[in-house]
Amino acid sequence: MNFALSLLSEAAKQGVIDRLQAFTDSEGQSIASQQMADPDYWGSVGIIALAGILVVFLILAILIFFFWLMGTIFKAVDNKKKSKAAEKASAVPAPAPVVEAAEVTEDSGNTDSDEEIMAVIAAAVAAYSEQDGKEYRILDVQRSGARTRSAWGLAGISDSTRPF
Amino acid sequence: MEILSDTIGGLISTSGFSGMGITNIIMILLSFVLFYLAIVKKYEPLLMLPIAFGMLMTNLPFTELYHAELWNPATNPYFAPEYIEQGANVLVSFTKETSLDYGRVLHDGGLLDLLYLGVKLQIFPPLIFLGIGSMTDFGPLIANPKSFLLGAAAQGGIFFTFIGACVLNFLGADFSLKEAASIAIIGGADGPTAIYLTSKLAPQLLGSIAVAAYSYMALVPVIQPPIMKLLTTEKERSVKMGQLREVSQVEKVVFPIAVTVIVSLIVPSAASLVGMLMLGNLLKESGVCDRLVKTAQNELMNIVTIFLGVTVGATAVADNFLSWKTLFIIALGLIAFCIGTACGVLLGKLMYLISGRKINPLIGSAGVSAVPMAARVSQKVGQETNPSNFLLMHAMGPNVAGVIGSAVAAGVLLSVLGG
Repeated sequence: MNFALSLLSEAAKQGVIDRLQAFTDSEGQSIASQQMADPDYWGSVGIIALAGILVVFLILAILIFFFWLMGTIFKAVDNKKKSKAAEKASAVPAPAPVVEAAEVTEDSGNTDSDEEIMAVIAAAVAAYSEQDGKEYRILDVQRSGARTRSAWGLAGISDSTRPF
Repeated sequence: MEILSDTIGGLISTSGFSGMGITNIIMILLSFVLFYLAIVKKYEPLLMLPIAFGMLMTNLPFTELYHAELWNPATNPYFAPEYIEQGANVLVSFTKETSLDYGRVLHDGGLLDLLYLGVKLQIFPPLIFLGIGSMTDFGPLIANPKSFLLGAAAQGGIFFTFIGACVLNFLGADFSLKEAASIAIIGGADGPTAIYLTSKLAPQLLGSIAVAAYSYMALVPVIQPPIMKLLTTEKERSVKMGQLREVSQVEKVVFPIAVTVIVSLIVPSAASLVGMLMLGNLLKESGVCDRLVKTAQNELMNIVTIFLGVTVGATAVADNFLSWKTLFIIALGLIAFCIGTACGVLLGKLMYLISGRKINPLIGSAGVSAVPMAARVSQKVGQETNPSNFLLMHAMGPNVAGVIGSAVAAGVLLSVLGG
């Protein structure tokens, strides 16, 4: 951070960038060619580019550190809550949960290639696969039977879920 | 009879046909090309269509909707030699570059001049960011903060292109430092940010830069996959990433406040873009401002999009647009996108190695903002290699980090060159 800022402040101290910026087209010559004629032109271009990318990286690195710290604290709090809940649950023996296997039925309806719906289905399958430990592969997704939502409803959903 | 011929003659001389020059015809034809891209090819139609229409209207003679001369500080009457001689403005040498006669704009301006005030005064791009923020879920980024690095790496395209634009001056491109920075920001793949920076640094290039930025954003699914495949092996592309942890609402509320404070303290010139993005997000995540969120996501966003598009299109007058610079801008914009994608993927590869092959490098390409298109491309390319792969949520992290990264990059360029 200091390095990047010192690069920029060094350039600012020397006034190189300001000097380059001060060229105007009032003398009939273009600004760019006047700027390029300055002996410090390429040095300034390099400093702006290098310091720019460094500042972007450093700001985002600070954000990483902050949110990593925040995440660690929240995870710790969450684990504490979970362990407390587990303790309470173990005090009262509960019947074992019954897991029913869900069967996916496919119908030979019209093929729908809507990317968003595909993404949601793929996400659900990926999450299920994570829990299950088995790999699933989506070969085809087809709509079963009649439409469950009106065309206006679908248009509304598509419109409001499509980010800008 | 004479009265009739005089009337017809008068009508003809005041009609647009009499003022139609070859440059007007070329610009109108170019606007038709943009109509085609928006309507038939569906290239970012929400913005491309208003841009094309603004371009059409501004190039129809005598419509008086937009006056390029009002936006050129050199034509400010207060800087006329006789005025300066009277000693009316002793600070003229300090303010000539930045001062516009806004009174004249209000007095003589047409409809699009008045709407363009929203661009010139940097009102519309931050409002668009408010809407984007209210639609964005930063959850994947909070769950995996390392994604910020990929969002930063993809901004490499901006700074490489900045150097590239300066080097092109050897080929006669004639770009000043401010123009080079405005062109380079196309690599951020973020339309409002590009418009924001260009309207401050090089307003004369606004039309060409906006058209290039939105065209390439629409072409992300075409431009990115070959680069992603070229830089990664099949083994790397098929890496399956573990599910992201659940993010609590408190974290989601803290996120926009913390980002605003941190970014604004370090780069104050990025505050308007990042601040509005985060305000929109805070409205959404707080869960107590439903009405405001609805407005920010829909009515406000749509109204500002129309105004922004049509006025940016209106700046594309023949004098500014029909030059070699436009061709250079189109070439440099493509280079910026390609390098940005490559930088993201290369850092992704590095993270793949460091993480012990747990990170799929394909998510790096999503660092070039273009939300959510770039993340969808990562998902698609990943699934082509390994059909059971699901990268979308992982790619959304770098994708939204890219929005913050490009706004920060714009802030840095503005603070260095905007003075």
